[in-house]
Amino acid sequence: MIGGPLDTGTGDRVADIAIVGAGLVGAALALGCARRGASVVLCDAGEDRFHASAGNFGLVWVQGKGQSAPAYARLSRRSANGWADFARSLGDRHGAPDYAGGGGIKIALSEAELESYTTALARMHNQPDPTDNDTRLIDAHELRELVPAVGPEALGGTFCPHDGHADPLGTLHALHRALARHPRVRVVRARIERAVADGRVAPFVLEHREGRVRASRVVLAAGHGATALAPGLGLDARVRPQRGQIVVTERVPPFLPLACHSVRQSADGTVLLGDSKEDVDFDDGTTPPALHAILSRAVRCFPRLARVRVARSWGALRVLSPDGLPIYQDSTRVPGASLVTCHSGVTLAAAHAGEVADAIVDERLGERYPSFSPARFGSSVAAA
Amino acid sequence: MSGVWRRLDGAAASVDVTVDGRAVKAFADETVATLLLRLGLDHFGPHPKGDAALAPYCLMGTCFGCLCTIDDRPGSQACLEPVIDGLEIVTGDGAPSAEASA
Amino acid sequence: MTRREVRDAVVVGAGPAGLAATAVLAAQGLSVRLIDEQSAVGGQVWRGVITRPADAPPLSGAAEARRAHAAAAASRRAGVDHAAGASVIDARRSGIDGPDGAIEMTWLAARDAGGRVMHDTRARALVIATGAMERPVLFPGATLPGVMGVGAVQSAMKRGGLVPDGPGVVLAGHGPLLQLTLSQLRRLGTAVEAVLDLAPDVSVPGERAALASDLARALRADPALLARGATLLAAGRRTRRYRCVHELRAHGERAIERISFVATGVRRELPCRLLAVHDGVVPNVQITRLLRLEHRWQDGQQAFVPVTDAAGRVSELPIWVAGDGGGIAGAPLATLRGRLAGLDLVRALRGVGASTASASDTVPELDACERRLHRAIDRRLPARRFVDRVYPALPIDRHATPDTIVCRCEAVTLGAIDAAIAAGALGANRVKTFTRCGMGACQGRLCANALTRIVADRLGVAPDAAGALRVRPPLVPTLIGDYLAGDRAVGEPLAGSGHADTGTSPVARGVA
Repeated sequence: MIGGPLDTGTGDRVADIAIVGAGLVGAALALGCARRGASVVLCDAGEDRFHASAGNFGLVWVQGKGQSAPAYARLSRRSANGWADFARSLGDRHGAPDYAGGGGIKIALSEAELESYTTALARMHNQPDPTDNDTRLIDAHELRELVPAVGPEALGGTFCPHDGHADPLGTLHALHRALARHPRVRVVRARIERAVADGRVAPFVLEHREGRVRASRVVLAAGHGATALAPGLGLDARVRPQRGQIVVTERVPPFLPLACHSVRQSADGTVLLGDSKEDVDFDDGTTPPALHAILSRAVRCFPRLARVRVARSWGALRVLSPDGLPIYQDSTRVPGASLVTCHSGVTLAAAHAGEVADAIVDERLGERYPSFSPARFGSSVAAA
Repeated sequence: MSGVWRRLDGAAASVDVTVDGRAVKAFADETVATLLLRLGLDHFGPHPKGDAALAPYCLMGTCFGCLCTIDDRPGSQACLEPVIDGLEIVTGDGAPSAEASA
Repeated sequence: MTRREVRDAVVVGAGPAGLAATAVLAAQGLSVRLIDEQSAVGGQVWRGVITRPADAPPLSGAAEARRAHAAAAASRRAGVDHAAGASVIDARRSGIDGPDGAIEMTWLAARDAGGRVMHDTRARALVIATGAMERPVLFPGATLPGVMGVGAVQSAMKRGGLVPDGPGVVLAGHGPLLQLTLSQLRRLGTAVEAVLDLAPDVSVPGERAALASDLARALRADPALLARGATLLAAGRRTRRYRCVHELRAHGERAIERISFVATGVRRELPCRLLAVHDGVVPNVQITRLLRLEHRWQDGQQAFVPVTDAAGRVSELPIWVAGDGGGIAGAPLATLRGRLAGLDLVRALRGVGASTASASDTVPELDACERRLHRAIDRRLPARRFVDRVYPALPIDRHATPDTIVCRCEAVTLGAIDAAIAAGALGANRVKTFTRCGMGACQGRLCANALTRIVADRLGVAPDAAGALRVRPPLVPTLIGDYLAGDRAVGEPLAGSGHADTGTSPVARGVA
């Protein structure tokens, strides 16, 4: 049922949808559902540990997504195409998303890299359901026209017109500001410790240290934090942490008009450099070898960066499913419980606030996204 | 803001440095920061965000308000650098100009 | 090309505590890498003593200068490699925790003919002696040129031989350092326009009684306290003083030109060219935070303090914190704490109960030092508690308005922080995420303490619950070129000797 009265008391009334997790995924879903008329309770544990949204690089990236998964390739593209409207809808005061579209580039620094990009692109293009999303090869000349600051080692690369970038922190802040003032949203600032399907009082009861939340439906969108709650709700949140290390520099006068996959210049002038892919369990630290590799490649792409100072480096833990694709699931064992998890929280933010929120409100999440069902992994989750 | 600071003793200034291209005599025990203060500068560069001022506050290496270019290294903390013969100091570099000079 | 070396111990900070620890370690035959970001040893309290021209009168008295020179000798001892003017970039615990765990420090040497060279030191133990720094005072206009901490005035006097001159010199704040600065300025002939006491008056009867009781205890333990305090207070007697000041504001176009404030109900203005402020000192915890060591909030000092045992050791780790970096206690105690940490470190590296002659030499000395230290602490701690109670940190809102800048590097105002909290940022790091407070060049050195206190105040929670800013490498902004300088392919020999610089001593390794 949609449009129930807002729960302002101690939990007597029942919200339409409870969303557990207030990072980029949960916050976007919550706003989207509320804008479609649902009363939403957003549960924000407020903890800093492994808060993937705070460590994100900020790409709104389409090229290379879903190389053999057309549904993912298309979802990424739809979301990227809707990002400008999504950013505008969040307003522009404190915490602007600072979205910039116009395309993105993956630079090749050697013949071998150029060769591998070419092969991959051909493979995507030649599938019965192509997944290249208008990505094309560019030569050194065109690369220099698009990004004049690129260094002599850059031989060319791939360009996708749908790519862009945004400020993940600004986006998160803007989402939270919008949620704080939305009449159909209540934010509960507590870690949910137990989520139970309780047919007597309300379909779902979510317990935290100082009380409980009641809702007709529940969506887990808590990144690594969903793993503990998922089995009890018949959900399969089989994600693992994959570390990416990132460097951010001091502010630099604008020199980089387009995001270049591992180098992007934010709206305030700082330059972000990435990235790595490491399986290191829950360790969000940094390592000298990875740092060195990131900086080394960055300077090969843009030699001027040698005179720029690193302000900070960090590790962030991607929420990664076995095949890297999202998991969107409606629980069959516990009807009314759903799971939304992905590692591209920025790219998919527009979709989460849009078509995915639609699907949740219509109770058709699993139906509309069959490719993202965990059934694709084969074995089923053991009941709690 | 000249004249806010005066040198305590009357010893001779014997170290040759340049400040923004000008030849200057410095005292052997000065840091770049105290030299610039003595010359009457109350700030050594623009704020990276451009609105607030960037001013030296602690003179001990914790505030990063004394940044300037020392020996062609932008963003040097002037309060940590002793003056030595031949040192080149350029003020006004809160944000580096990452020009195509690399 | 990063230069790599191995040492028994790394000591960070060459103030009284760091020098004392270094002296002990070197005397016991350990190899030490001493890293100090200042270009000359002495830290803050002995700043400028070593570099002072021989004919210039000492600022702090001849006895203090002698102590400083004696301590400075530690940095020149055999076995000590002193990196002056060097910045610690990163600190890592590598491998296993426990007595054999290793510490890795990445640091950038001072500029030399070849530029600043990156170094990696691997050591069996680490002494963190990074001292204290000032707690900034929050009020409108505090970021104007011409507003500084009193510590900056001290620094300019000691290293630079400068003294404020002419009209419009105002001190504002409270605490022993402000009193000391005032007395020094007067002795050097500077006319101080006014002293503004920024704190609320102690008007609650219970507080007065507690103060008196603390003072009595302090005097019983250390009778000389009264004489020292009286001397300091007397220095300010002829200077115009305003009490219980609030709504302090600095005004000016490009730099400070005047200040306004309210005192005894009257709004006043003073022309001002230099405003030196002070609200106590707090431990510099950048490295202890980077290493993710445990900290607890010390209510008396209104600051986070690393958790250590009585010798300064961090639980089972080969990490010691010595001096004010482990909690504010002043310079005399810093030397003793540095010495104690050094001895405890030697004992830990050799293993308690080792049967070698050198180990049994250490234990009685360690015991004697511990006893002396505890006596010294017992004597001085009541005075510290008294000072903390007389000069508690200023309440955040006493002078700060919504447009007051809290984070100087990113120009984040108190209003922006409050807006972020209202939007759901219920902790220091969340506020940072939403506002960029703490993301600038100083990495929160100046704003972290205030941010924790603001969040705690707004949420009505303890500072431990409000959280502290996460510290990430590099500890100072570092040129990308410095990371990559002289890059070679993997596998090429290290610069210079052609083999790894292994500086561990046979003594420390326990070889007979």
